[in-house]
Amino acid sequence: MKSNKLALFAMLLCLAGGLGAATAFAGKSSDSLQQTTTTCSDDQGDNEQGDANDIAAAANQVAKEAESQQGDDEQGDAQGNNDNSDEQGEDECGDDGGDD
Amino acid sequence: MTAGTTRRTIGLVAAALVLAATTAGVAHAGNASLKRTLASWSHRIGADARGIGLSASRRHPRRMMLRANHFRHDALLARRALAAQRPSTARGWRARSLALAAFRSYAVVGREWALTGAARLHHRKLLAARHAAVAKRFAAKGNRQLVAAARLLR
Repeated sequence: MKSNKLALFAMLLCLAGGLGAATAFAGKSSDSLQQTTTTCSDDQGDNEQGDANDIAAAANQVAKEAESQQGDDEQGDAQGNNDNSDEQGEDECGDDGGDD
Repeated sequence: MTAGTTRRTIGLVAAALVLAATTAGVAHAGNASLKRTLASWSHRIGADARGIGLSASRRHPRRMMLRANHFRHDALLARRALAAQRPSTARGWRARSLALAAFRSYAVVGREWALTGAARLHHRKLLAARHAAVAKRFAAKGNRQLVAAARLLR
């Protein structure tokens, strides 16, 4: 009976140790994963902030132009109806957002 | 302690270790996958937005409208991709909900931008300005949610 309790205690101790080791291992692999993804960008954590800034800038630009009394460039707008060569979002790194 | 008990203890310890390692591995994979998905779609939608900003600045409402529809489509695809993620921690689940809310806001932004372009094409300036203002409000909301989601996954 006493040896059974001892075995149970040892098992719990090992389980705690195993969990600790596994967590440490997971943390280590997380770091290496981040290093891999940052080869494509400056800082993984700040990427979303940069993208959010782009969206905010676009929203400001659209609002500014919508309020502007200046007429649209209808000729330029009509040119290249099927021109999707400048399609955004396909380039995973370093797209510069050309329009025309 | 008998030899049988010792063998049983060793077996149980080994099983517990394997279980612990597997659980931690799966937990990590869930959040890492969510983080990658969020980064990828955030990047994509940011690039879409840059194109829309350029079309707007060049006063090309028709192109802006097409790009806005694309932006909306990407936001909806992002939502689908994020909804398929299964984070392993409560923090991960919170990040997932925020990310889903962010892309829901962006889908509204895309629709409003498309309506802005359409209104401009019909020379309805006031209506265009109204849609652009709604888009701006939802863009700010979506941005807050996106950044908060990313922060939770750091």
